[in-house]
Order: sequence, then C-alpha cells, then structure tokens
Amino acid sequence: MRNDIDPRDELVEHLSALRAFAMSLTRNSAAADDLVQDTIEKAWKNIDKFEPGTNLRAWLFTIQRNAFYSSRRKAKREVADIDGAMAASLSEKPAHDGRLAMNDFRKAFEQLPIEQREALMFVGASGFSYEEAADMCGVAVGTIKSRANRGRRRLAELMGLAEGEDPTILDATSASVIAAHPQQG
Amino acid sequence: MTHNKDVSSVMKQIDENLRQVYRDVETNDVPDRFKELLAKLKEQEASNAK
Repeated sequence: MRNDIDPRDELVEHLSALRAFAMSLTRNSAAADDLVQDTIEKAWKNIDKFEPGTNLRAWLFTIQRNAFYSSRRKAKREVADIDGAMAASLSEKPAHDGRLAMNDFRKAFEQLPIEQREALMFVGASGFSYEEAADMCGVAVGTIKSRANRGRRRLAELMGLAEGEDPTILDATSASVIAAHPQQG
Repeated sequence: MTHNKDVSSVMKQIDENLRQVYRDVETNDVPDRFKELLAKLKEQEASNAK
C-alpha cells in the first residue's frame, strides 16, 4: 500500500465535474446532487480499488455512471424534469451575448437519448478520448463514436444548424431559408 | 469540398457549445453539502484508525 498521495484528498477537485456530469444524466438538479453524494460515498469506500497514476476523474465518472444506472433500474421511473432543470437553474445568471442560444442548446441537449448525452459529455464536453469514453461506458470505441456523432447531428438539427442528411442544406442560400422558416421540413 | 467544411464547422460549433455548457455548470459553486460530506468521511476515517 502506498501512502504518499491519498486520492481521497483530490476528490474535492472533481466535485464540479461530477455535478456537471450528474446533471447531464439526471436533468434534474436535486437528483443530480443526490447522485453526486452517492458517488462520493462509493468512491471513498472503494478508494483502494483506484490505481494510483490512472485518471481519477475517469474513475469517478465510471462510479457515478454505474450508480446512476443501477438506481434507475431500481426506481424504474422517469425522474427527468421535462422542462429542463439544467436550463432553468442556469438561466438565472445575468443574460449576456449568446446566453439565449446557450439555453436553447441545453434544452436541445436534454432531448437526446441518454447514451448520446453521456457520449457527448465524455468526448465533446470533458475532453476524454473516444477510447477512454468507451472504457468508462464498457462499450466498443466505434459505439461511442457513433453515439457521439448521432448526438452531434441531432443537436445540429435541433439548433437549425443542419437538416438531416441533406447535403445541400448547408449552402448559404438553403441555410438562410431554414433560418427564415425554422419549422420547415 | 465546401459541404464537408461546413459540416465540420457545424460540428466544431456543437462541441464548443458542449464545452460551454459543461464550463457553466463547473463554475457554479459546489454546494457546501459535498465539502461537509468529505469532511465527515475524513473524520470517520480518523476515528476508525484510532
């Protein structure tokens, strides 16, 4: 047993990231905070299973992910806040440039299936590699890539940045038509 | 190809937005309950070790 660095002392540095990830899973701030608490307690208890020198945040995300799915299986009920707790809790900040668009983006994000949300949280938002994300989710690298890309495409659609598979839609003229008539298609 | 360039710029924009959402949540203050929880766990550990 090595005792030079106690990873438990580093947990505090990952609390914000855990909350961000929990929010993307639960879409509900109360449920997210309960999930973070559960994760901290589990991590503390199982800290001897953490391999020093490996990525602590990835380890914590994996615990949190497992905790989330096992409690979801137990509860078997949808706790998601359909109106978007994430958007609501963040929109209280003073509005400035881009804020409105960001709220739209969060709402769009919350509509994605959970596999796509977590893939995008890992590789899009937190900067893990596809390999690391695949490891954390216990699936193949190709699966993570396809979930992340489907998620990105869906977000682009929801945000009116692109339209399905239509390759012509992104030229300037079509884009302005879409912008003028967002409900079209 | 223009189309591919546009698609990749849209995807870059999406990823930039994702990072921004993440940063927004990350910069929110961490509730005291988590710092208190860590302190409590540490205290229990110390008293168990005695």
